[in-house]
Amino acid sequence: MKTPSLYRGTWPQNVSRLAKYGVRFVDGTWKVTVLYDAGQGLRYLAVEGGGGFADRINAVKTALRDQPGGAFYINEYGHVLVPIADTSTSGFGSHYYYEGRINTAFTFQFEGVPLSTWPVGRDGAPLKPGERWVGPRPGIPYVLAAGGGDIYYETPALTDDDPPKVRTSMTRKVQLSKVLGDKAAVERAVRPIASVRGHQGGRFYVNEHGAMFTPVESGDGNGLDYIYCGDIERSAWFPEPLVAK
Amino acid sequence: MTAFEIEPLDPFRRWWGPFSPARGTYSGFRFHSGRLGTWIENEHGREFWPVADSPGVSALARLIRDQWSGGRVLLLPNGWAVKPLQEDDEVGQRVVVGRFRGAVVLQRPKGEVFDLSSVRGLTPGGPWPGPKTTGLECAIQPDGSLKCTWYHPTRWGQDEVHEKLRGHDRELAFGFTKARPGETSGRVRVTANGYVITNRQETNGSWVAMYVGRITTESWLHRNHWIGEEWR
Repeated sequence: MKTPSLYRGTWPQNVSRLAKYGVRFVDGTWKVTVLYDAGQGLRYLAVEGGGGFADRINAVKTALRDQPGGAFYINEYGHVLVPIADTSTSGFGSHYYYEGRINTAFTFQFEGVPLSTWPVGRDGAPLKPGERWVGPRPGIPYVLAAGGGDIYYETPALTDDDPPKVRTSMTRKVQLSKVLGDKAAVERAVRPIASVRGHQGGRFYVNEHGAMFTPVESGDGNGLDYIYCGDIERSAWFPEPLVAK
Repeated sequence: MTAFEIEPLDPFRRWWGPFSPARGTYSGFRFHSGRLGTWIENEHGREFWPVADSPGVSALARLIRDQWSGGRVLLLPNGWAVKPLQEDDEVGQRVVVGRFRGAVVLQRPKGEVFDLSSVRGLTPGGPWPGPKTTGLECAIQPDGSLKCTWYHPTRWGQDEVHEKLRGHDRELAFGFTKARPGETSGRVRVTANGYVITNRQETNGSWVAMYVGRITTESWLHRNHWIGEEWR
């Protein structure tokens, strides 16, 4: 296997346990799993099939002298990112490597009902923006800036070398307004999030299908609900990061 | 401490190192009516305390005024004098203009002086009688180490750098807890000649500057890559 390279796009870093996929050893085999909030507690759900994909993740982990199993992410470009614990003094807990692309969608079974990360309800009907997100929640974190007028992400800064290296102790903030340089496009991008989060802004997630959802306090005062905000408009979004072919 | 001297860098160079001065129009060292100094707020209102004139101070003032006509200057605890650039297309860029050594002495309006290298009667946790907005802002950690965060603008946003500039220091940690009882970490400011101060919020909401401790300039981290390419 070719040595995996550090990923030049967003590294998810500190996200909730529900915002990542994992490879776990289940019933004698490595499987892709996701932690799911089943209402009365958290449960690991295993993906239907997906054994071959778990092997892909483990190949990266072992190639980089990590243990098999553990977290991975899929972003809105279909890029598969594998975090590897960092033993250097870079100041970042894990380094994120690019594994490749994925073109299939995972499905899970929960109480006999198929669940997916598409924006659909329990009955399979498409969600409307503003409705509660019901599926698993792996995603990549972004931030609606305070004031509600911009979107940004923060990620460790890498060198321009090929392959890139981590710049010690440096975090890069990338703002959609500066990337697009088009006020109208930025307005189109922020509107779906701002309509839920308002001027205070805050974190939201984008999953592998480009669906956006954001945590809000639940109506009953117990914990958080995740609200579907709509899908990203690809022409008004961050460009796809360069990856090795 | 010796009298203030400046050794100019020729040419000036881009500064990629720590830069976190206090925000605001009246904070830090800056030029006012052609003189370098700092603004003080006290019971009389707002006063400008110029740096007492000396050949070294005149040389620094000339260096700055020849190129920029004024503005603000950051005097770092390890002696680098850094000028933030002011034009619209230069926001967030800084230039190191030289290295200073010696005492920074301020002239009070009534004639007496305040020597930033030798302040008498200080006790850790006690009041700081000097200017409270000069110096480099850092975050003191429970072990007394100092971390600093600063940023550089980029085409798409900004790069933010986090560095530990000094390792653990029991005396600083002690001074901070005396200055702000019940707290073990928070914002401090390291002044040009090494005094470390912090602001404490009083019950009436006002902020009072407190003395935390002192560091030597030799103990301050410096990385060679902080001094970058020639400027212009």
